[in-house]
Amino acid sequence: MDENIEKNDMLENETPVEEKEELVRIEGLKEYFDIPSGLFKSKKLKAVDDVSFSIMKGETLGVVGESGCGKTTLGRTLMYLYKPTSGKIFYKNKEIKTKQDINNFRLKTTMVFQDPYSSLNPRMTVEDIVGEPLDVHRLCKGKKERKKKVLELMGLVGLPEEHATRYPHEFSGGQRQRIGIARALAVNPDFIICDEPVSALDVSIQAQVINMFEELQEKLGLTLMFIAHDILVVRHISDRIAVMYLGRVVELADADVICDKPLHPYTVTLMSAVPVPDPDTAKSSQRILLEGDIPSPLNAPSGCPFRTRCPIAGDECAIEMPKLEEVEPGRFVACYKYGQLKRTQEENSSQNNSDIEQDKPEQ
Amino acid sequence: MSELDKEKNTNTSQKATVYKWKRNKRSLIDILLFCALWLVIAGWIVFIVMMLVNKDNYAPNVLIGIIFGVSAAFLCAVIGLGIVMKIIQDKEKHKILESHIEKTDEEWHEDELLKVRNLRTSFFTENGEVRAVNGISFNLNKGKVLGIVGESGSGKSVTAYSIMQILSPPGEVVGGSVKFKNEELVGVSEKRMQKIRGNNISIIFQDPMTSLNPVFTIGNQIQEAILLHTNRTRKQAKARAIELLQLVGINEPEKRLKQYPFELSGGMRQRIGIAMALACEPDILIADEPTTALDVTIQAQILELMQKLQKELGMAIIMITHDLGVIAQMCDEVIVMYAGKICEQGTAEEIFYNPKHEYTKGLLASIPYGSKAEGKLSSIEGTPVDLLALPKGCAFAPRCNNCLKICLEEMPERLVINDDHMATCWMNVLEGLKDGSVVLMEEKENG
Repeated sequence: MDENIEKNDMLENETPVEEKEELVRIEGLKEYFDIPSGLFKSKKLKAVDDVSFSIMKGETLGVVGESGCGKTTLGRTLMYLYKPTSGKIFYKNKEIKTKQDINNFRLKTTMVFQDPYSSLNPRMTVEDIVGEPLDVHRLCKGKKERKKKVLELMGLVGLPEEHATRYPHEFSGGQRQRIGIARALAVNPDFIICDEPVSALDVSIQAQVINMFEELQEKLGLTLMFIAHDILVVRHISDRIAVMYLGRVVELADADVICDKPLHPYTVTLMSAVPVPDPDTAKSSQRILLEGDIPSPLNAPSGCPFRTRCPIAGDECAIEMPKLEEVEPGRFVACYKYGQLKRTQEENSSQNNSDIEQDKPEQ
Repeated sequence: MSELDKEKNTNTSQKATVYKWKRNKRSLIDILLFCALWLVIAGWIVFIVMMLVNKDNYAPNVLIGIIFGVSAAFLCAVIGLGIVMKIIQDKEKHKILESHIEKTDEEWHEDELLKVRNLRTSFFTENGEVRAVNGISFNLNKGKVLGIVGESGSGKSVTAYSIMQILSPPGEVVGGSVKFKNEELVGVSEKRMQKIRGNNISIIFQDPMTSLNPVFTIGNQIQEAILLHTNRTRKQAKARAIELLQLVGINEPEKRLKQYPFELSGGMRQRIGIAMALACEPDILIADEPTTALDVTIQAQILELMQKLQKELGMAIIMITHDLGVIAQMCDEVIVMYAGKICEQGTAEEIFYNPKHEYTKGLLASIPYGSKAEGKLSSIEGTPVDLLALPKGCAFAPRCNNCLKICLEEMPERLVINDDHMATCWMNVLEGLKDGSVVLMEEKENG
């Protein structure tokens, strides 16, 4: 425990020193969908609601949250796959406004999709799939150059050259995801949005793909936005993590800090719900269980969206949504009562730990 | 002291060919039955049309009537014959299966519930036989939680389906034995199996979105099992259903009984699935990836609920999952499967803290646990094995980092590491030879 705190203190001290260049910044991004609820009436589904953050060059930002919290929509809106309802997106401190800007932005930003089975066209060979972005952006002159580039990309993600003429159905899940990644790398991007790239894969294959992401990031200096629901995976790959709940970012901080000392009550419960692959810890640790399900985003509760399930919600939470504020350097939380839930859990777990130590036979 | 635990080496493929032939013949009868049915229907339609068209002249109508009457009688006879033949074939099938059952004369202990011995299940596809479950054996005691873990395609779900005997046609149990309370379940009649299913052994399926029937209300689906297996009246069954919904933590149970599955969220549907499985207080609950489709916070709720119910009702659970975190939290004993075989089995503590199979070691090392600073994950290279072309030796050998020559040649035998730990890996034999706990046969004879 003490070691962890020391480590975290060190991290906190280090971060402000390393001033990194900002690559992408979003300000007040909103994405509302119209859901018809009558003949002329329609309801607003607030998929992404007032999200602002910036991503530094070369870092990995993890985005976690339950299904339906808007993480995928955030990724897609960021790439202009959906037109944002309002809000601004900056790339290298330049706002993206015109169609030309969007085109240029997409040359530098690509996406890896969740499902390796449905995101590849079954009628195209691997060469065509990986080469398609090159054709769209007219990056290659002639077939020879294209083929050379495609083989180079395939080598980068660890696919043998003879696979170029094969079709997606001939590959296993992990290999398909490699094809998807090769396609994303084709335009030489700075920034890749990975939308649950490993959640459809088995544990052993998942580790291969995660390792590959890390290698590629080192080699090519990529910036990643890693959207996933598996917190252990996100923690492993990310520098910073943003936790989303019902379209809003409720907490944003360094990966280790947010996992070891979460402040927002939702993050606390989320971290305590993660099944730890270690029988002793898993069986002894006390879980904070949430009541009920995530509310429908169509009729989200007033004020803080989490208050209906929050164990420490008070009267002020129902009135207004708390703003995402910087409570410590590099640490943003959107909660009036941040830090209060964690304390009780720490007391519990420290009690438990002492119990286990007493129970454990001497070895 | 370690000792080699030898299993019978039976020739499965020979039996499988006999079996395949039987299966094809049965499908022919199915087609015949189908054609006969349609011929009769078509005949009657033609007959009615002719009656309507030729209202004045009755003679041809009578003739046609006689022709169709005779053909209908003939086809009915064919259908009857088909049914009789099907019954005979089913009996034959059971006879064949019975001959495959390995008669184990093991003693039956009081606290044992389920004993699986050398269970084999194959899928007969166009490309050949897929041995999804290839000779697995384990015991399940009362009130224990057994976890089965493995990659997709390792045969975890098929094991569960084989125990429940709910495999769909291309898949069939081709041998081995499943004993529930000293009663053989492989080859038992469908009637008996229906009594056991839901009553003594029940199952929770992976996907709560598709495992409930969308056209029946929740109440209808929960009460079905209660009415089938107990002597309760409808009123009592309803009361029991409400009780069950309260047990699994659903508010307003009376309102929910009248709702349809699409009106509920994923977590609620999985709770309904659990309530259905618990309806008759089963001795064994098989949970086939019960939380894979759910979010972490909902998963924590469901796991907590299952643990609570298991303690209250004292049932045994077989927990099938690919998530080692879930296993660590829930299970007393763990089976690790790869390519239809058990590669390691033992208590949870033994498996997690003292893994003795290269695959288990790789699996544990490839879980991301900790921060970025801890460096790269050690992954298992290669892709999962193709079940249609299983290697000669150990199925994991092509992906194994410490692969020995013998791994490619010969399947290792189960080595007992200690009282609650067994592993199927040549590395253990090698280690045993080094420290002298394993002795080669020749040396033993000579010395």
